[in-house]
Amino acid sequence: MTYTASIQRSDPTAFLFLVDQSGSMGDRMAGERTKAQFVADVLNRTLMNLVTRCTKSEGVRDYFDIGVLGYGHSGVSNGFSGALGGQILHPISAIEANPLLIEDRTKKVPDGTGGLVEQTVKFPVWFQPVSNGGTPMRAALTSAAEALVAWCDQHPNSYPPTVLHVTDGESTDGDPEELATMLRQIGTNDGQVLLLNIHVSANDSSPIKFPASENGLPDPYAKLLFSMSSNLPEHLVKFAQEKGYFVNSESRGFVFNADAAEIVEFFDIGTRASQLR
Amino acid sequence: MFVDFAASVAKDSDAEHLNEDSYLFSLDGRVASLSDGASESFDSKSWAAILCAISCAGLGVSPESISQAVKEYAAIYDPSTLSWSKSMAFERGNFATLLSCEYNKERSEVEVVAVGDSVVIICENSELTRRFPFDDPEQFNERPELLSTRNDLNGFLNDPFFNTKHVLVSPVSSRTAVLLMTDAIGHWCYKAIAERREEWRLLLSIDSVVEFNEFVLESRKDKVMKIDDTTLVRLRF
Repeated sequence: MTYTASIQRSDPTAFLFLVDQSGSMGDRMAGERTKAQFVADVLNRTLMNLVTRCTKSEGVRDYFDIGVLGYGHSGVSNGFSGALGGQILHPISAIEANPLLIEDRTKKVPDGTGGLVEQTVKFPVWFQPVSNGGTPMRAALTSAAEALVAWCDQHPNSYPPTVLHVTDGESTDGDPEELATMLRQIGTNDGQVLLLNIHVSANDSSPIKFPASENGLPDPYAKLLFSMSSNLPEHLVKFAQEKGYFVNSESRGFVFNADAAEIVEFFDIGTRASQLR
Repeated sequence: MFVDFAASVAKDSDAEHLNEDSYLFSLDGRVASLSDGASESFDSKSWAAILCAISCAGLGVSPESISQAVKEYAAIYDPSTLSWSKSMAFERGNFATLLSCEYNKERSEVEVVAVGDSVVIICENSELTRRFPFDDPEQFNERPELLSTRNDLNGFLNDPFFNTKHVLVSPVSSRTAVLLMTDAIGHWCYKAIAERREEWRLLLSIDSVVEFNEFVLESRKDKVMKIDDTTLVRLRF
C-alpha cells in the first residue's frame, strides 16, 4: 500500500511549491489583482493553514517540511527570503517563526444577530508576488528534483513529497515532460513524488478539473500538463469527492484554466496528505 | 457497574504525556466515559478531559452540556496572549469523540451515547451481542462527526434524529462485558470479528497494563493496528 504512511515528527512529509513568475503572471484576474498577486495570497494562506494544523498548545510540531521555488526572469530562485533564504526546504516550525511580515487584514464575521461585522486578523506573509520574464519550467523541475532526491534519501519511511506547480504558460526552456517524469520517479518507501499541476487563466474559459483522460482537453499544452501530473492517490480522491469534485482513481492532479476559486481548492486538496499523528 | 480493566498507550509510546485520549469514571459507579482528542487540534487533550468530566458529572450529552464544556475550555486560554499561530490554532477549534456510558441499576441497563469513531461492543457470556455506533470496519474510514470547542460546529446535537444515530440502550447483567475503545483498537477488533478471527476475545480477558502495552506495540509493529493513541476500557456489572 502506498501513500499510507502516518505523518509524524520522526517521519514528516514535504510540500514543495513551484510558482511560475513569468511576465504573463502580471495579467489581471477577476477584480484588480494580478495572477501573481492572487497566487501569492493563496500560497501565504496555505502556509498559514499548514502552520495552524501543526500548532499545539505546547508549540509547533514538525509534521511538514516546506519549500517554495519561483521561476521566471532570473531563472529559478528560492521563494523564501530572510532567515529562510539559505535553503529550499524548512521544517514548519521555522516557517512559523520567520514570516517576512505579519499584516493586519479585515474579514467579515457574523455579529451574532444575523449581521456581519469587520474583524482585524493577522495575515503572515512569506512569499511576495513577482512577474517578469520567461518560463524556465525545465530549470524549475530540475531544481525541485535535486531538492527532493536529497530529502527522500533522508526520509525513506515518510509519506512522499508533494509538488504543487502553478503556471500560466508554456515552458520557454524546452520540453518539461521528461523532467516531470523523472521528478515523479523520486520517492520514499511509501510511494513516489506527487506532482500536481495547475494552469491559471485570466480569461473566462471553463476550468477542467482533475481529468481522468486527455479526451476533452483543448490543446497539446493542456495534454502536456496532464501527462506531467500524478494520479491522485486514494485519500486525495476521497477528499476531492467530499468537496464535490467528480474524480476517480484515474483522475490526475491537474486543473486547467483555473480561476481564483479553483486555485484555493487546488492548494487545499494538494496539501491534504494522509493522517497526521 | 465497575471498571474491570482500563489502559491507554500513547501513539508515541515514549511520550505518554502527549496521549490525547482521556477516560474517567464517576465515583458512584454510574457513568464511564472515553474521549479521543483529534491530532489536528490545538489542545484536544484538555478538550477530551473536559468532555469526560462533563459526562461523569451526570450532565449527559446535549447541546446544553456541550455548551458548558465549551465554556470550560474557553476559560483555559486568553487568545490575546497567544502568538499568531497559537491564536489561529485556538480559533480553529478542537475536536474529540465521546463515549458516555451510563448505568441504570434499577432497570439493569446501560445507555451509551457515542459521538465520533470511538466504539463500544457488548458481550454476554463472552459472546458478541451488540456493536455501536459502527456495524463494520469500513466505517472507520469515514469522516466522523466530532464534538468541537466551537459551538457553531456542534449543530448535529440538535438533529431530531440524534438519539437514533448516537444513543444505544442495552440490558446488562453480571454476565455482561462492555468494551469502550478508541478507533485504532476498535478498528482492529471490528476487523478481527468480521474476519472471524478469535483474537479479539483477548480484550475480554486481558488484565495487565504491561500485557496490554505489549499487545498494542506488537500489533503496531505487525501493521495490523493503526499507530494512534489507543485506549481500552472494560466494564462489568
